[in-house]
Amino acid sequence: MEKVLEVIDLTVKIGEKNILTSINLTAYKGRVLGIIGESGSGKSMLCHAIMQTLPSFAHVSQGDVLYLQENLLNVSATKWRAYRGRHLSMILQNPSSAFDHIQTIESHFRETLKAHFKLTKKEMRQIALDALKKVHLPQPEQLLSYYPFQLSGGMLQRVMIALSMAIQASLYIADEPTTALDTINQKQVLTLFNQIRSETDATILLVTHDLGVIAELADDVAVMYQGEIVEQANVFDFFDAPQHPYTKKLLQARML
Amino acid sequence: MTLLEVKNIEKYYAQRPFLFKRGQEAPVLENVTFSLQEGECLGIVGQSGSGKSTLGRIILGIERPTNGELIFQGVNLYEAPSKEKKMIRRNLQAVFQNSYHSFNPKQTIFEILEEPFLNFEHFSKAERQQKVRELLDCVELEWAMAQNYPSQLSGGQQQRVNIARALALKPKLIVLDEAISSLDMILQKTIIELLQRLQKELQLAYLFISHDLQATRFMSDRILVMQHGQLVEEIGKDGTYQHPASQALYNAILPSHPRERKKKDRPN
Repeated sequence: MEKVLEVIDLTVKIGEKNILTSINLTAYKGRVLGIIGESGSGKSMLCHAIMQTLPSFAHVSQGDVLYLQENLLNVSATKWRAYRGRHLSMILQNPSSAFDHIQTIESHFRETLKAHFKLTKKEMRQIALDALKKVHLPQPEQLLSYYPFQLSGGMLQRVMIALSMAIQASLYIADEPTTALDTINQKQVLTLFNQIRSETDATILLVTHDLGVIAELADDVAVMYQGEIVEQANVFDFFDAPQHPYTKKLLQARML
Repeated sequence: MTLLEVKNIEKYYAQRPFLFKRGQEAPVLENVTFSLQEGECLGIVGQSGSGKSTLGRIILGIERPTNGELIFQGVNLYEAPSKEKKMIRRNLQAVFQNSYHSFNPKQTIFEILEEPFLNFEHFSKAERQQKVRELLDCVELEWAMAQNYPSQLSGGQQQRVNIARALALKPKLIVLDEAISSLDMILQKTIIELLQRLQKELQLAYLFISHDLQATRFMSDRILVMQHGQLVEEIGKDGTYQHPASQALYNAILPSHPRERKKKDRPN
């Protein structure tokens, strides 16, 4: 299996306090790595540390983040701009705050595509239409002229994923992508991630607090607890033979 | 005994008129009829936008229905004289999804929990203190927490305070509108256990409104499915259903183990 993302001994601090302590993780090509943990366990901080979008009061004090063998922590700002969005794509919890509400969906596609490719308007429109069709959104032609506030949360999250698909990202970092959605939309978005993974062999880092989401989509699981990875396993082993007390408690909380 | 009767409730929201064009009326609820027994937990499930919350708001008296009747403990809530309504309303309480926004951030937990008694009872300060202490005890929170502000509490603790406030006046019915949806799994489980214990001890009835069929099944005695502002069916005790809306909600339940992943969703 090809390693796409490797996090080695990563420690993130706010002042002198450890927020993340020696995190080690590996995500493989075409696989979904689920990261589960309670609120405040450092899941989102980990995503930001990988994407180099940490808030200014936090800093990486040691460790490496390797994307296809290249250390992202040493990459220049210019090169990062080419990576971010083009290769590594981030999908956030609240889709409506990730969009600019005074721009149409089409101009969001244009802005994203222009940043990475030289294309004509017509070509960009075609790519956008194809991507919207792939995420099963109805009437893509009409949708392009809509503004984000005219769409529901579930539709916006699918547009967000379509944007990442349009530039053919190879690593998706999805931070609680379905938490703000109702169960029917949640199922659609998870099915979509599964489709992307099997069609494009993309790698997905899926952060969640919901065991159901892990059971539905993940191939490997890492459990975060108080800023540390306390358990890492294949998804079947994780459910059948949990090791850490927190993991056991989590599995007991399932409703049957 | 029947506690609440909802009869042919309809709600239309007027859309804003534009120049000479008259505003159209958009139906949000159409012909909603059901009843709720004392001590029963009735679940209402549906997708976002199906009208579940509007129904909850109408039952709580936050909004008026366009047509229809609402009879609670034998009293028509929209026609009774206001004094009688006020006395009846104290038996009808609510817990909402966003625990933090349900509080005045400048009040301490003590002040929040004391307020229902100030509004409805004539208690001395010592009695109120005793009552607040009992309420905190009831939802398994420490008395020391009474001095804190809502922002100092975790989401789970905030939701417990919301439940405590709803319990203050010993209501008959609590409307739980997505009350556990924003909590993580371990917290959801503990809050559900708390609600079930309180239901037994205090003979409470719940109207459990949620988009999550799994949690609703876990909580409720009966489940009504809502779609496009209408009640489309009642899911039977044995879990049988016919309507496509119920089917969609069932299909959206996530597996509890990776072995149960559905084959049809996985192309390879």
